[in-house]
Amino acid sequence: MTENLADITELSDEDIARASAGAKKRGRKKSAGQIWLQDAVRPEMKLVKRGAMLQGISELLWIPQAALLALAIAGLIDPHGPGLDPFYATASILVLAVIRHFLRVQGGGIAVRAASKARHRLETSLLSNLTNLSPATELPASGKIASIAVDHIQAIGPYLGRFLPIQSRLSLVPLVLLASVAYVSWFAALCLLVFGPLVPVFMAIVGIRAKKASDQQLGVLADMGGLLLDRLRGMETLRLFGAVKRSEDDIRKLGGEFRMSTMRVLRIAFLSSTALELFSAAAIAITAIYVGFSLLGDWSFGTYGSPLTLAGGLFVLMIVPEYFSPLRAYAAAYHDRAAGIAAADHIVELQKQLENDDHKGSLAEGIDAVPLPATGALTIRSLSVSRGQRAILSDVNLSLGEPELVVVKGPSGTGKSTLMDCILGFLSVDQGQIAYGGLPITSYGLTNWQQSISVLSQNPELFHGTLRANLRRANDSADDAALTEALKLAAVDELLAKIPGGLSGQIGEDGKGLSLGERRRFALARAALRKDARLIIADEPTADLDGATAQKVVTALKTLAQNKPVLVATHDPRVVGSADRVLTLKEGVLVEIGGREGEEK
Amino acid sequence: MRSSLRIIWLLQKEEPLAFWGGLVLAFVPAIAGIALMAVSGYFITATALAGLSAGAVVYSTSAASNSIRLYAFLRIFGRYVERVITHDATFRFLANLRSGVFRGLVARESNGTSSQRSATALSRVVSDVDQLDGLFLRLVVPLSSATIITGLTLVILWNYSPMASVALGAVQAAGLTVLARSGGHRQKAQARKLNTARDALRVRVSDLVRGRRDLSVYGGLEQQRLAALKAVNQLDEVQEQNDLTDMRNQAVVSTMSQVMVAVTFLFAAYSYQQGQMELKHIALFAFVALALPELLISIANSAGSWSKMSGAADRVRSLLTSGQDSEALQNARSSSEAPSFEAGKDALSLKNITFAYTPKAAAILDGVDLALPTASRTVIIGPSGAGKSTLAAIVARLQTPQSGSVKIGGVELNSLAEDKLRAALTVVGQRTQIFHSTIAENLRVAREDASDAELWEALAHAGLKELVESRQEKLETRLGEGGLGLSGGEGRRLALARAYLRDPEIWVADELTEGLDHATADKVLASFRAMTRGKTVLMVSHRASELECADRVLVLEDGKLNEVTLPLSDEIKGRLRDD
Repeated sequence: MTENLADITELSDEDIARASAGAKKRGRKKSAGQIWLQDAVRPEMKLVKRGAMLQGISELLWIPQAALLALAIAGLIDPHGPGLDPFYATASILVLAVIRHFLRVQGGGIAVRAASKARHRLETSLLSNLTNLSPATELPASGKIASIAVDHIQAIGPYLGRFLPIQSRLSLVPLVLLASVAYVSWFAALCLLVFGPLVPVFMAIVGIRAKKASDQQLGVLADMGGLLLDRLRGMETLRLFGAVKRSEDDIRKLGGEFRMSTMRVLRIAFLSSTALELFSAAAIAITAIYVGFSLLGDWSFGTYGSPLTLAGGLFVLMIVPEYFSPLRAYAAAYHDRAAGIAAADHIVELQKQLENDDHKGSLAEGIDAVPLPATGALTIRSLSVSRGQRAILSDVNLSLGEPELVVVKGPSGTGKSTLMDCILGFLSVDQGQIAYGGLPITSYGLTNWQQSISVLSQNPELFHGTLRANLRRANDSADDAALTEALKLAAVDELLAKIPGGLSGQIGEDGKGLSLGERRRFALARAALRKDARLIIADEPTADLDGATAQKVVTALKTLAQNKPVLVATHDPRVVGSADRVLTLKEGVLVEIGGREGEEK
Repeated sequence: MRSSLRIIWLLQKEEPLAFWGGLVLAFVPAIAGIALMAVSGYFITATALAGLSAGAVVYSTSAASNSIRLYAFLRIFGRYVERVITHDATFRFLANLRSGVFRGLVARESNGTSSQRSATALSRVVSDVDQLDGLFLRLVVPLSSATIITGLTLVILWNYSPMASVALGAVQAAGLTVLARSGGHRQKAQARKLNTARDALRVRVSDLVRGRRDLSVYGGLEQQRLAALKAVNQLDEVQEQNDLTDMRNQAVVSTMSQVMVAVTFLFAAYSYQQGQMELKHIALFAFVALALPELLISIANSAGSWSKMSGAADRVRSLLTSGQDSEALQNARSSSEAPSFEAGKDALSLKNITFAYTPKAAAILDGVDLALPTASRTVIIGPSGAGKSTLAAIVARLQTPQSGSVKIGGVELNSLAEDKLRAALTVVGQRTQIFHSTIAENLRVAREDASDAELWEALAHAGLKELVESRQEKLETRLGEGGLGLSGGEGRRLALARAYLRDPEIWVADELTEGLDHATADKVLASFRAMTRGKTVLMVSHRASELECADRVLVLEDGKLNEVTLPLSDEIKGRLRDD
């Protein structure tokens, strides 16, 4: 959309750069995005300037071209005045045209490549930031982040590749053109001098409003993306409740808002291009009339002594449109600036969120990470965690080392998941310590630690790809036989028959194509594949499974527990019944109530 | 190309005034711009000649300055009006198009023909539709004004010097050809690549964000990052190529305008020397040649996106067709009679239903018959994957069986109007879909006009009242993506509250208490029973506690439904979870 708008507006707001340079002196505050953007594109600025210079030279070569043409025409009309042979003039203009084309393409290429480089750098760093983040960090909707990665960073490209080169050309090209006009007639130059800066002043007033409107518009665009993704995901519910029509209306309504905010931007943009037209048309008209009356002999001012010649007049009239042309290009690219800055605001906002990550401390990758022992015991001592004011876990103690099946019971929302997040190092602990083999888990390097645990989460995330690729995430050296065995263990090997292609068959995003129970069991198979796991953690592993299948899963967990400790959060009596140890989590306090025998009592 | 024309035609039909008016208005400023330069050039030459012939005024200066003023005025204001009109109409059209595309996506989902992934589907709807704003603004308008005005100019200039006019036209035509070619087939593959890379990046980043928990445990984070990086590389590469093409196109237009000036002048000068043209028209030709290529500027700016637009038009058109088909189907259904639920008759009946996921796969429902008398309670049990949920989906018309008939309240499901079906029957599902919005809005999905009091009542019945009351924003509490912030059980209860707001005649419960702890499950079941008193209930379950109060229990196995006698045998009890 943004690139479309840039082209539509073609002649839009004007010399804001000058205005904002002035504003800077007056101390107007820049937006966070603006400051960030300047920093972000600094490495490419040199290239951009070089490209702009080549393009600027190309534009200035119009001066000799115009002079050649003016002399040739004048020579034909007044054989006694100065003149040039038409053929010679044409040939020279064509040669210059070739040179101009070459310079322009070269310069443009440099700028475009610089923009591409900057874009690439930003995208890469966003990806690394996202990767290095604690998974427990709350983030905006994934669709929103995707739209930052795809749309917003892309919007910075045109800002760098189109807008900035034009901006740096703007300070040179019109001035030189003005000087060339002044060489012929000071009066014509005076006209341009008056009209030229008037354009920016008028447009600056309009342009500030354009920026505001444009921000709003990008916001609506992002909202629309979020709304659509959300509605598409919940399509089934919408159909069940007959709310599809209403969603269509919502979408249309939001589309209507988008239209209005876009039109607000565009009307302003059009207004400023109208101002540009006004001054450029007026300058052409006045110059033409001045030149005409001077040639008639009615007016004899504006030159240095000798009267204006026809060649001089033609030359001036040909320079005038070109004088406004950089302004026009600037106006056309101005939307790129607005879009770039608005996009930068969004990026900065996300970055702030990434930096505010409370759990960063726990994430600090140990520089001198200790190698993880092959065996050991997990000990949790006086662990307390609170979220805001609410205490989630208080003074939790737990030790896990021997192969056994340990169950943590407790109603939903009592902190079972928090406990697991702490063990995984996703959450930092307020108080207390989690250690493995006598050392805090952080000393092994969090990535190492996390990857030494097998997890079966409550909402297992499956990825678009083959069954094989999904399973191998746990153990990339596992061969097909091992994969099949793991699927059998998790009682989900019927998938091999159900999904065309077996292990090479595709599953969709969100595990689409699998029932919830199948996803759960598939994730269990994945968990089982990690042979070198020090610990297996399962969150409600039997939810959504029928009795027979649930029994199979319990058996599988039991089998796994023969080799390593398995920690299960559940309230399914079948799992509780097979546990070696049962703990209850109530209001943040963990109490051991014994093993199977204890439960039966 | 055909799809593009089709969509342009739709626009023309929906906004005829803006379409034709805008098109005509677009000519005004363009013509005025050329005329302004032409008259100025002519004026100077004429005055110079007049000055040379020593005082003999052969030229009316007032006429010239009047026309200069007129053209300047038309140029300035014509453009403003034209743009506001065409843009506004285009965006209004796009808003409608967008919801039509959404309808199409939903329709595809209902036909089961969709293998779309939601992130892809999203980028389709948003970016494809947005691409289409260019069809009118950047294809139809500039292309028609460039060709028509160039033609018009040539006709007028023909009177002065045919030879110079031909030169002018030839260079302009050459420019158009270069641009059209750069916007043509060669670009099409490029555009497709760009779309693919964009879609890929969107999906990869979405996966990375949503799956970061499992990814960091299973070490896929780095892999996922690399996959996203690959998409980034491809995207940037294609984008760079596109930018370079755009930049070259603009350079071509600029260079072409210089060539046009030079060549036109040369031919004009030759014409004059041959005595075929008056002297005073020489500058006129040169100045028209200066102004004419301006018509190509907007084409140069948009040529790079033509093929993108045509690809988007193809996809949008196909979605619109799906949407229209489903609308036609719904219209055909809309006159269906309302289902009636009289005591003693069947509220729901299925006859000989067969269903398979794919034509090749084995049928998971193989001739299922079932009749639910009004106000009866039936439970279907069976092993995981036996097709219980499929059966529930078929009853709710979320899946279409390959054969067989379903009747609801005596009306054939196939011909039942959508609103009547949804008012009569609801599924409380296995998978709760929670929208990224407030609790109130999530509930009002079921009934738009429900009052706050009714929402509270529904929450109370579903056992969620305390939880919502404990939150600071109460009903206005926002729920995260995919319902983050609500546990699985809480989400299920929210779905129950939704269904309660609907208050349908037939309730289908698909694994209602899965994932809930014992105490909560009992509460949910109790409120479910209270809600459904006197209603027709079909439960799909494998929990013993859900079987209580059932009038009838059926087992679904090997694609067949078999009634079992109550009380249940131990063999069947063994298959159920007895908690």
